[in-house]
Amino acid sequence: MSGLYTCNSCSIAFETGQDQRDHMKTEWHRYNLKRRVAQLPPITESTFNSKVNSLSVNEAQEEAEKKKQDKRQMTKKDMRRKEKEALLEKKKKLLQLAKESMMKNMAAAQQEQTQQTAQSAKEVEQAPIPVETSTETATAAVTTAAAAPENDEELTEEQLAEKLMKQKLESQVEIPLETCLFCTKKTFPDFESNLDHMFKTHGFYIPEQKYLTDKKGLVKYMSEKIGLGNVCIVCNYQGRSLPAVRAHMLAKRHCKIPYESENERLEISEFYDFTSSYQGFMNTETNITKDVPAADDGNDEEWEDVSSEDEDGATEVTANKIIDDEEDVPEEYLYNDGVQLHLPNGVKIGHRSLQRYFKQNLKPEKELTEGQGTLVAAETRTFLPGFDKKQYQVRQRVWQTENRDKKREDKRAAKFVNNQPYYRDQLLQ
Amino acid sequence: MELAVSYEDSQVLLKDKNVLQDSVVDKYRTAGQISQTALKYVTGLINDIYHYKTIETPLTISEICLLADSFIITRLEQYYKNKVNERGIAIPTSIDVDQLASGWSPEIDDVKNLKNWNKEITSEEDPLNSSVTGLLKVGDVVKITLGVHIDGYTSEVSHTMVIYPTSTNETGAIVPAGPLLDVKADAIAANHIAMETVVALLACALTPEKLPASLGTAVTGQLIRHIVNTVARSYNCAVVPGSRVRRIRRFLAGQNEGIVAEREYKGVVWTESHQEAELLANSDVKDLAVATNSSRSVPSAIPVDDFTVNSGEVYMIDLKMVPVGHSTKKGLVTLDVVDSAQGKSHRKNELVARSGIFVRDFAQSHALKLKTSRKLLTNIDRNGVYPFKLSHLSENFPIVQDKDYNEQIAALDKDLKSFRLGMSEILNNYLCVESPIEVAKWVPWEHILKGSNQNGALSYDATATLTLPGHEVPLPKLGIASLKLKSLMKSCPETIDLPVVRECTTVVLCDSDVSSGDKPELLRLTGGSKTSQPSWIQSKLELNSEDSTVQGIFQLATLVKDKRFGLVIRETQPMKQVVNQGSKENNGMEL
Repeated sequence: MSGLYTCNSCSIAFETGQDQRDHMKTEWHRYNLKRRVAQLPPITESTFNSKVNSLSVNEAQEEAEKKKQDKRQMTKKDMRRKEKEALLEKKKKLLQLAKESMMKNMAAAQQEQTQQTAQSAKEVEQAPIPVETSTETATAAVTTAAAAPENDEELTEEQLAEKLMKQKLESQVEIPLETCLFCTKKTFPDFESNLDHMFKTHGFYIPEQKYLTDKKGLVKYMSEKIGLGNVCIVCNYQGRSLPAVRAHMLAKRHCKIPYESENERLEISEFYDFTSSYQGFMNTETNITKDVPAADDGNDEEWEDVSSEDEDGATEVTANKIIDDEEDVPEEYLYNDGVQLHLPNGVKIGHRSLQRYFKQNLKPEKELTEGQGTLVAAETRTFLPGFDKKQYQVRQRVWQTENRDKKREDKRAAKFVNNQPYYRDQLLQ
Repeated sequence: MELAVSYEDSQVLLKDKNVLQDSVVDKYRTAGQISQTALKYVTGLINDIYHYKTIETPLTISEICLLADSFIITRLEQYYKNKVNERGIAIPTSIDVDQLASGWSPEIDDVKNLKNWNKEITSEEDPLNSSVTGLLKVGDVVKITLGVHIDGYTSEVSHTMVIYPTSTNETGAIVPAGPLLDVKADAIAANHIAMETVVALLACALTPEKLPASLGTAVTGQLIRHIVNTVARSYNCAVVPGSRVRRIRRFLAGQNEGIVAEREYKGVVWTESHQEAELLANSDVKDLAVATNSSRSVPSAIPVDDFTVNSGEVYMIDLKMVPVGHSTKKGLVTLDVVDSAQGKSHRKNELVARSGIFVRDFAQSHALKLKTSRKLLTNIDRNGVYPFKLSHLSENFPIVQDKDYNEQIAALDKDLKSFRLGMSEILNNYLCVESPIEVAKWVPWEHILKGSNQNGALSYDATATLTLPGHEVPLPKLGIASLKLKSLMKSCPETIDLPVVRECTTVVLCDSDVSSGDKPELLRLTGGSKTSQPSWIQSKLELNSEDSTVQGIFQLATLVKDKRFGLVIRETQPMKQVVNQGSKENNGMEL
């Protein structure tokens, strides 16, 4: 009978239907269901429980720490900044890794040139760090989840990233500085002519050359992105291989260095030095970031300064200060009521989409004083209903048709009217 | 109607806020004190000018009105500041002379106009001459009316004064040369007795067991009307239409009567229709078909006598009387509205004037074209719901002693010019209503009976000023609308003006929980022996003591005098020190 009640996700059987139903409500089952959706094999209940325990302990600790830290409430601004910092940190780490491997590769290439013989030895040394780390993680994974056979799935995010890195490094294609980033197998005598080619044929424009300090580094970084990461430099499209990414970039004309949003600028900021522009213009820099209109990502929010409703009730748009970019939205607002942001200085900022309503010049709602209220409450007069425009229009139409009909009737009747002054009816003769 | 108040709010505003508590009684009392003081101030001014002659250049009526209003506003400054939202003048001070029944409160810029418009009225003998020139003369019956409200709790007062010829007695004091002996004396006597009796009657509502047996068991509207009519008849007087004994509530002190059809109106009103009913009852005519006009108003808004006075209510007793002993004929006493038209229909002896008092009608709304009028309307709305004068809206109001008087008057005059411009648009769109200047007239009854209404019994004049709901037709049984009555009045050569006497007082029927003693008491906010002493008169007529009603009146008078077992009536006194200060002001004023 036990074969009747089973759970396919967890691959177990039950004695009764009630057991099965109870099982379906457990977290374990849900977890296995999700794993099944992700095409992963189910785990046993004990494994699940141990996982939950370790996680909850971690969470509790984290929360306690967080509470200690966040004695003062984190504002949205701080949170966003932290997130960004974390992201940058991650990116930097990746870059660091990539750079290191690159240096290693270059050194290796030099070695290759000098020592042709030590080929096999170099092979071992090619990627020592990633290999080491991967073995370490592998062992760690084995120790933490000994029961689970598929330690591949149990890797943390970091470990996964590193694994990915390893794979990438293996399939890396290095693009030298004299070779075009986008064309296949186009090499030039020197770096400058290559840049010239890329600018003329692909529109590979390097922004703010005045402040650029490390041109080669910038191009190198781009080539890393394409060659090592197989990532499009504009839209971060992840190609399967270098030719795929190149084909994408050529087809989509994604052959430029994006330099519009703050993130994009920050990404390549290490190759620039803007300190010469700071002298005397401490605020121009901020203006530049503000005034350059950005092609924003999906959830860009544009806010307009709308003067708060004054006593006359006239809502007028005083300043159309359009602030772009999510980062530049005034963040010290008191609250957001879904329609307007309320700033501490009393200004209310409405969204552009509601501009037509803010532009309306409505009569203010009349607030009655107690005396007026008493009179109105005591009033028993009834008044005639006011002039209804719609009703009047309908009536007007009726009148018009009536008039037309009458005219037509008159015209028809006029045909039978005898206008001859000396007419003699033949019948009466 | 565009505006509306929720049911809960209206319950709070009309019911809860009118429950007498200590705080409410306090506001009433303070309002009463201020109006008493202001009345004392005005009577003092008039005495100083016309009796003691301490002020050389006499003030005109418009100036006295302005000074009285300024006085009220300055006094009010000291009370309930920042504690209540609304307080101020409940009715602009008006000074009506002789046949003028109400509403004579000209602006200062009207002094010249009045003289221009009324060039025919020049003779010293003409009773209208005092109103036109603004200067009183010996023998004038002067009615002073004013009112104060604090947070909508209103006290109004009016008092009749007589201008006497003066003489110096043996102690050197200036006294009247003799009592008033005219028919005016009858009216003053009747009005005073009626007033005191009604006050005592209302006090009986607190202790119904003390009500004299001849007057019934409860204080009802019918009883009040009967007593007032009895007193008036005994002195050969008639009660002028527009007199009323009515309950007042917060912000509903009768100032909007005729504009707002007030819900749950409780009070006795005297109109032409009551005189008509009495005249027809005494005649042989029995088969008059009475047309009933189905009024558009809610029944509770129509004033009827069928009510009982209860404790915890506040009443305003506003009685006007005219002597009708000049002729043996029967006649109808009615009010003629003075207007500023000088066309063909204007008679030479008729007064031409424009009213200075306006009332806002909040039910009306209109988008005004002129900027001046829009500004003025906001100003008016801020002023409150009570009647106002244009000068109240000026920045140069109130007149203060520190500054030069003439300069202030000149500045006020300048402001009035722009206000007049704005006001015309406001009036044309019915956002405000002029409170009419009324003249009491007597029309022979036979002349009215000759007239007929061709438009049918139910027609009534929609433009008639300030008619109470249910009383739109002045003579409903004869079917004579107000326009018809006006034409009858003009067409009859026998029609005469009658001198009006007016007394008004506000009383609070305090139950024992809010009264100052342990017994329930009647708190008389205004009037009484301190400020409204009757003038020195002698009337040949007296009450017929055989009559049972009159006996009841006498019993009431003894009850009032009986401190121990009688009726408890407490009078609000004018502020003593303030009065001194006020008289000092008079002396110190540079005129």
